[in-house]
Amino acid sequence: MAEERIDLPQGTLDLLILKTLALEPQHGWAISERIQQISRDVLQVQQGSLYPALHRLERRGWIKAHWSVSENNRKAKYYALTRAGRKQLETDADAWRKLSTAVAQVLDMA
Amino acid sequence: MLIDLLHRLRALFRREIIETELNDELRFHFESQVEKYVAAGTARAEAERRARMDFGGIESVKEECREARGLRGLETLGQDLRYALRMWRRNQGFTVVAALSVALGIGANTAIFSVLDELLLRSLPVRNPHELAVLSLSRRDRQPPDFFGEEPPISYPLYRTLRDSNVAFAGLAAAYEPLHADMKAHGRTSAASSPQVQAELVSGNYFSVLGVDPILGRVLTADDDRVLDGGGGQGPVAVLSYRFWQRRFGLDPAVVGSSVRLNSGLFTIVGVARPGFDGESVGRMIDLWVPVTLIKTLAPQMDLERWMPMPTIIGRLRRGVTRLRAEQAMHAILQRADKSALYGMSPDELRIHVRDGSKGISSLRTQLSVILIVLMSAVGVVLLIACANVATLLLVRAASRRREVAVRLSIGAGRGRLVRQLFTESLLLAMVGGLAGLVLARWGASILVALLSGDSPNVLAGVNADFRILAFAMAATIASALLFGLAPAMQAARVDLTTALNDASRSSQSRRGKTAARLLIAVQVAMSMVLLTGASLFVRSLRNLESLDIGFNREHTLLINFDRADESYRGAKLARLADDLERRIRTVPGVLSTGSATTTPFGGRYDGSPVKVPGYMPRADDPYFVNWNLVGAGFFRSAGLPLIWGREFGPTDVDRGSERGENAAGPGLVAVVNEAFAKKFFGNRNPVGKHFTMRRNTDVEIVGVAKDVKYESLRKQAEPMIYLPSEQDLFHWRDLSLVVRYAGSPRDAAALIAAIRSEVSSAAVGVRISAIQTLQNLADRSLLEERLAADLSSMASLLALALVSIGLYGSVAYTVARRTQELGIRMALGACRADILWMVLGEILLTVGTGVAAGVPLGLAAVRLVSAKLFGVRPADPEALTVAILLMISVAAVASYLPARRAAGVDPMTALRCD
Repeated sequence: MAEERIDLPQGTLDLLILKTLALEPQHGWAISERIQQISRDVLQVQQGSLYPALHRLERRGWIKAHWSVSENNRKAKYYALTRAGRKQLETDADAWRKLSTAVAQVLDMA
Repeated sequence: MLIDLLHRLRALFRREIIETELNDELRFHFESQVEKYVAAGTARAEAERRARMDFGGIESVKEECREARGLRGLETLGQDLRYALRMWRRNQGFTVVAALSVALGIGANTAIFSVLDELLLRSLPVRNPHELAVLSLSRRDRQPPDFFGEEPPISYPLYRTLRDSNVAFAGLAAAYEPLHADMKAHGRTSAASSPQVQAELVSGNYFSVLGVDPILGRVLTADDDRVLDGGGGQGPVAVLSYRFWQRRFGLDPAVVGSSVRLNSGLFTIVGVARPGFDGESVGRMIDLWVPVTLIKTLAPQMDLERWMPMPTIIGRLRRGVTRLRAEQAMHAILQRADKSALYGMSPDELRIHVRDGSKGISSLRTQLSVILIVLMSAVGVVLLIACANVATLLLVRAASRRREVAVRLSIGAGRGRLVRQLFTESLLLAMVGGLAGLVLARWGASILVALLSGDSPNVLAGVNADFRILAFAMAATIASALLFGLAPAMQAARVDLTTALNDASRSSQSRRGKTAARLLIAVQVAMSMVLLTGASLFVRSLRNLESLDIGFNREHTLLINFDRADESYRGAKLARLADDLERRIRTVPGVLSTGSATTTPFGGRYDGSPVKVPGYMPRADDPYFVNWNLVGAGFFRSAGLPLIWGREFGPTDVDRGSERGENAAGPGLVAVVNEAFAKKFFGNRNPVGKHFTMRRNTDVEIVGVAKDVKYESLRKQAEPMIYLPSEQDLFHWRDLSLVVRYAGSPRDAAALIAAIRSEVSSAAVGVRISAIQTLQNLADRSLLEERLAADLSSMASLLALALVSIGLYGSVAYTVARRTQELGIRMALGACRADILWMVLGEILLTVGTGVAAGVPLGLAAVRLVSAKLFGVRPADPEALTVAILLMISVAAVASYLPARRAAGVDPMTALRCD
């Protein structure tokens, strides 16, 4: 199973975090779980880079944090998308789609 | 952006909370992971091990989170600041000297700048000041003047023509010079105290053209122009300035509608102008404005319709009209103007000028702009010297910190980080210096304003520490920090680890640092030389002017100018009044003699007529008029004005004239002329007994020649002047001044002036004193610019010398301390004290000598720029240069001798033993 996992390209982690939070506010652990699940375990989020990314996004004003109680009744830090974050998500997702289509076209040529 | 900043600040000030939150967050993640593995059936211990492996190094994750939050930048700044303060405490002497250097430099610059800004740079506080333009005339055969130098002013009738027939301006306003008027507020001030106010006479549209609104009531309107001599409408009206409203009426709104008595007329106050507006002239505070059409109420001798000059014509250009187009349009109108509105000149003799009016008009600006720029440059050089000085000290100190820097580098500090930290120290130093400088600047600016104001209060009350001044000080501070901090910081971080850490190489200090320090000292010396050369020339100019012969006896002479209360005081009536006044003044103890005149030195009042001299061929550049001065019997004696040839007037001369009309026939007048007259028209031959004609063919016989008098300015050569006995020319006698000779020291003058004032006010109803002053004071006042240049450039030079000697002392003392070991070896090997002394001194004097050698040509080039401001000295004056060089070298020698002597006093044994 380990061989099938891909390290995330630079910058994509931010996009995935924003997308995950677009559905509902989540805490850090749930975000990493969610990304892993949806990508059917192909994408593995390094926890060492998840938290710095969250703090960076918060500083930029794209997500905001609040403390709440988790499903197993524990205090957890939840992150939610801000309006600026939603706009950023649209731009980034758009750019990503264009990029991947273009890369796919080039690769399919042969 | 804002969110970012808030996060950073929160990160800085709420560190503990953030650390706890970070811990909680990561622990929650870890535990959730563990539970996930446990739920999948892993044993707890194994699950924790796997979760920890997933996570990687928890501390490095935390560090990355901190970095992501932007904690680092501000945190290191905090560290750097704390470190800098610690270093300061360790080097208090250095810190005080360096901060003081910066403070003096920035203080001097900010002080001069605040005056320069107010006078030269600031736009008038009116609506769209860039649309304003100033009109003036010049004679075609002359170079364009500096505003109203000696050029014909625009007369009121011409102003009216220009205003009413122009299309280039949205409006054209006129103003007459402010008059000092006695003011009595109705029922407010007691009659005994009737302080004078500055009343500016303006056209009715003045406020609407300038775009100045009232804060209370109304301002003047074009309608007020139609109220000639106080009839109709609201009658005579006046508008107060805000400053005056505040000072005199305590901002009482009830003042609108009340009446004040100005001289002999009653005026209704109709409003107060917006705060900040003190008139169109910077450096002059107007108390109230009155329609110019009411001029006779304030000054009966004035007549708007007869050639009344309007020194200020200011207009607002129509949108899209350039000044050049406006000039052409106004020129076309000028061509159609009546000769009577042009002082008898024909339109094609004249040119009209339209200049930028956004900063208003200012005689003070015209007078002082060059010198202010010169002084600004001088204090700019002082700031450069201060920076070079601090840089020298920093470089010298950097040498002592080499080991510290090397240690920090070897345990892993980045060089960039080190430069940043060293530069933070410099920046902090500059900030402290800049702040102290601002305090100094406030103090300095108030002294400067007092100096400029002399005895007239309120000049430049607008000089305040506002945003512009703060911005200037801030910019100067940061520029200084960059200048003196960056190079030493880079130098310090460029340390070679192996040699720096090796103790034995301690005395072989970085050669590059040493050269840089020497270069900086030489630069400081060179720049000080420029200042010293300039200052010694300015001081000599001032001395020359101060000792110049005015013509009048400079000491013991008092001059009184009178204004007439009404037009009837002229001719015989004025003569009787003058007689009475002189008799009364002569009873005042201390008064030796009196004499009347129409023109007195620095009095600003001149009369002139065209003159024809038989046998003299007029030249193209001859002035239109020759000045004449109607003088009374005691004039020559009281002025101490000697006659070179011929005689004074006698009683027989007076009988010849009396009450003749302008073209009266009969026996001619007699006159005493001055040397300049004799020289110009008679080629310096004795003209006594010769005749000339003045006015329309009135014959005048010359009976004597008097020494020249500098009536207008000390710098100008005396112009030809004709003295006529006033009693003989009663028809033209309108203006009265008195020359009073008194005994006693200048310190007695104040008491004497008070006594004369009370004597005059108890006697005369027909005239009042408009100015009373000793000639010495008037002459001093006329040298304002020169005194400013001499005093301030001397101060700048002294400052520069002080800075240079501090720098020299510091660096020599330091070098000597570092070379103790080397000096010890030399002495152990047989060098005597004198050898050591000369070795140390020789090195430093070579540096100073280089600076002097570079500074002399630099100084000569610089003073050539101000040669027009010098008097009686050439820019390359050898004496001034010698003084500058000797002063520089002796100060440098003393500043380096003291520490060098200590070096020579080293005991070789101690020196060798010391580490």
